[in-house]
Amino acid sequence: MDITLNNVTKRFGSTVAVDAVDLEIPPSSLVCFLGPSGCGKTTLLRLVAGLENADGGTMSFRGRSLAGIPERMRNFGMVFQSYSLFPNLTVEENVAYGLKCHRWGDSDIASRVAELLSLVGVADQRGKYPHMLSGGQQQRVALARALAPRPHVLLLDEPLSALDAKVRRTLRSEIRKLQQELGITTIMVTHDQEEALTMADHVVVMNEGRIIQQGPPAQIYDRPLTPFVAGFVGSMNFLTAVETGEGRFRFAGHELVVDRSCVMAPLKGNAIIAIRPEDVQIARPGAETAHQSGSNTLEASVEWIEFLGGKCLLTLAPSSSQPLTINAEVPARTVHDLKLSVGSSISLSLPPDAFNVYPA
Amino acid sequence: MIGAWLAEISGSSLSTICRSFAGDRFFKAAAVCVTTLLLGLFVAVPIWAILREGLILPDGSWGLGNFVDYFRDPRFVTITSRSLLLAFSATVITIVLAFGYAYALIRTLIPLKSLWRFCALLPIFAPSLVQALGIQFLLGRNGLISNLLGIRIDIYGFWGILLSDMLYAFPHAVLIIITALSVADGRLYEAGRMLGASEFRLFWTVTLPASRYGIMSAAFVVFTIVITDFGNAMVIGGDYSVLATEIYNQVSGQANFRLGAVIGIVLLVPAGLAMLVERQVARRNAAILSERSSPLTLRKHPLRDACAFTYVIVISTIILSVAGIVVVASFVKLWPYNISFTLDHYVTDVQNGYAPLWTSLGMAAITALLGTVLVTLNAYIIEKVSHPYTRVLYFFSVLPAAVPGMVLGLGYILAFNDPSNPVYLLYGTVWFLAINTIFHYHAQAFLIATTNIKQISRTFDEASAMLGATFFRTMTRIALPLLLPSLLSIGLFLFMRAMVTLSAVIFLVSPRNSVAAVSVLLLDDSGKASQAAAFSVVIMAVVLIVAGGFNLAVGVLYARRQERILS
Repeated sequence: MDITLNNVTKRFGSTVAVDAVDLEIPPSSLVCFLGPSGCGKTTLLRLVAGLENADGGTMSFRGRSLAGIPERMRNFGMVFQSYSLFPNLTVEENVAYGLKCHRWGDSDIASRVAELLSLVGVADQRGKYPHMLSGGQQQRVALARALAPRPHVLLLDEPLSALDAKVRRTLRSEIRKLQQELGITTIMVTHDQEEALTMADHVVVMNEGRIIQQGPPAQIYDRPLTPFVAGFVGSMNFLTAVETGEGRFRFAGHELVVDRSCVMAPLKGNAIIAIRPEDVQIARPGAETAHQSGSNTLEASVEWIEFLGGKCLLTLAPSSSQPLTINAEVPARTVHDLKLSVGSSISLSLPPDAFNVYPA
Repeated sequence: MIGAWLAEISGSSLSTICRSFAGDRFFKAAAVCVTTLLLGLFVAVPIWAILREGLILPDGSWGLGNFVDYFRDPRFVTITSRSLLLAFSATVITIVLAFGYAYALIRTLIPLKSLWRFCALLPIFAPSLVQALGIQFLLGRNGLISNLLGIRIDIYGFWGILLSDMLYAFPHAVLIIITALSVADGRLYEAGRMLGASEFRLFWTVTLPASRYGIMSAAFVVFTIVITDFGNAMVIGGDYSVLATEIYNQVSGQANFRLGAVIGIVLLVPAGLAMLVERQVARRNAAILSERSSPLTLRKHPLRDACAFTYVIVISTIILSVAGIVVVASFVKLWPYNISFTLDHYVTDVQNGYAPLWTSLGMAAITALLGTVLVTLNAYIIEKVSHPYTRVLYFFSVLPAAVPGMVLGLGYILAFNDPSNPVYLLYGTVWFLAINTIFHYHAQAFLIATTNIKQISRTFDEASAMLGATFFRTMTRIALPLLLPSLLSIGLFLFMRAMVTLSAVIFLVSPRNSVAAVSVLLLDDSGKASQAAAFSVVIMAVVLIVAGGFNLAVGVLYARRQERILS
């Protein structure tokens, strides 16, 4: 393991920012810390960087303890949210800065700087000052600066959040490609679940200073361990239900059949049933959906239609004993074909294997 | 184990790494020690010397007996209450006038704003007593106005000191209130107007509340300036003695150091309290600014602008005429009877002639250069080394703001006029005057530096450290280049103060090493008002020329860097 955290804790006054975190980061992988603001992900990154001192626990890098090693001795490269390029130095001087700190020779510095600048695609900007560059270019320079001294680990603190959507998308794939080419162990902090899912080998979802779930992106998305992860990563319908038998639930006057593999934790009667809007299927009233027959089919009326471009988000109100709504995300084409409008009646079905069931 | 790890991780030899790691700590520790030594020696020791002198009774024991005696003497009770009365009156009037002036400059659309700004700042460029000198020429026994109107105005005493101190404190108040009024949040005004508020209501519900800390801060600053001012009271006070002049009379006239120290401590209390409150208020003032504020766009309002324009013209005329009359009087044969042109008064017949001016220039240069380095290092170390102990250093760094110049000067005599003290080697030299001036104005310069250091994002430090830089490298390669414009303005501030300072150095000058402001005082004291005026004009000219050149340089530099740093 490149980085191993054991029971790491950090407090600020009475708030516990990082609460007894255990984590292992394999070599050459890209790990994302994902969570809402204030969940402790940035603090955890800063602990790894050495910018904060842990109040408890141990951290090690390739088997050696990081205790007492100041940040500047770790040779971990870091890219900050606000780029933090030194405004009094040119692009070249910024990239050369870390090399000078590590006492590289002048000719080595020159060739390394040129190499890095062309690697991130800003070679033509070398003589400029940071303020003369666009946000995307600044972030590329920041990346080159962090990578120049051949760091053991690359730390990215919300590197894309200050950029506009288009630049963000390009840089996202560029950073990922670069990381894979160099094979550098990388930790990235983000609050953007899409960013985490597209870039990471391994996603670490955090809340209130703790790791809630970690695993490959697809696993996080398909099998969230808790309602928190389910709600934070992607969007989710939550239904309150009561277990009536093996794989059978009653919710708002309807029977639901659920595959056994969907139950995430032992239940004690009450349950929360989660299903993603894109898994909800719709059809003409009375007709059967493409999916299957009979079970889990509800009659509903369309309460609201939100047009999202290629897709539409429908707010559906099933006929039930209590007021509730279910969101369904369907291709815009389907809405058109079914001639749906607010008030239309439809039939919706919930595939038994698309659920995640949690104890309430 | 750590050594091996360090060597591997940086790819260079073990010894280099251990040295630079230790070097980092060593540099911080050494810097903290130097700061401690300087603040201890030149701030804490003199203040302690004053307190000790005031608290030791004639029989050698310690106690408050000296103060009991002091307040039993009706003469001293009168002097103390006079000082307080003067300070209160001057504060109230100055703040009202300065608020109007600052409001006109910031919140109305009057033409020639930079000219009016310059007029308001004019008194800063001269020793304080120049205001009193000008008022003498205007309203004194042979004053222009008294003669024109054919009346005798008795300006010597309360009213003279009040007027001249108001003029002297005016620019300080205007500057602080301008800052407070400049940070308006345009969104509040837009919201208020949308809700139907009149301009008058907006003034009371938005403008005043938003600037209240600035106003309070200005009030405490003015109070401190007036209660500690020495020059004006000396020139125009006549027999009307106040605390600051009484210290001087006791020490210089009667060599009564003990009574001087007692009066000094009595003066220290209100000045110290005022500065303490001011620091608290100023801290809150800084918190008002939020990043999302949108700038206020001013609207045309002919009546308001006409009133504002008239107002600034009237006030500027008063300030200019007081300064101007000093210039005019310096060039005429016998003010105001024979007003034919002459340069005679520029041939000073005070002891040493213009030598004190050169001493002042040298002293100001040392103060500016050495002071900027010292103050910036102090501020940087105190800001960046987070340790409970640096809070102590912070306290001693801002403490001089609460210590009146007369008190600090007396403290320097008591502490260092002693051949057994190593600092005695410097006693009476230009260097000693410069050191005294640096620490006299340490708090103000230190706060400018601290504010500027805080404005440089902390992530620059972190980015630098992550790249492997030492504390020293981060300071010299990143922080100091970014701070350059502010270093220049600290240098200019110290230079200007050093050129016009009187109160602290008056106790420390020797016949060989005297300063310009003291010459003006001596000339006026010996009845040569016109020569005093001429000497003042020379000082003002030097300060204005240097300040102008400096501002130009800073302006050019700042304009270039500003866009880099703010982008």
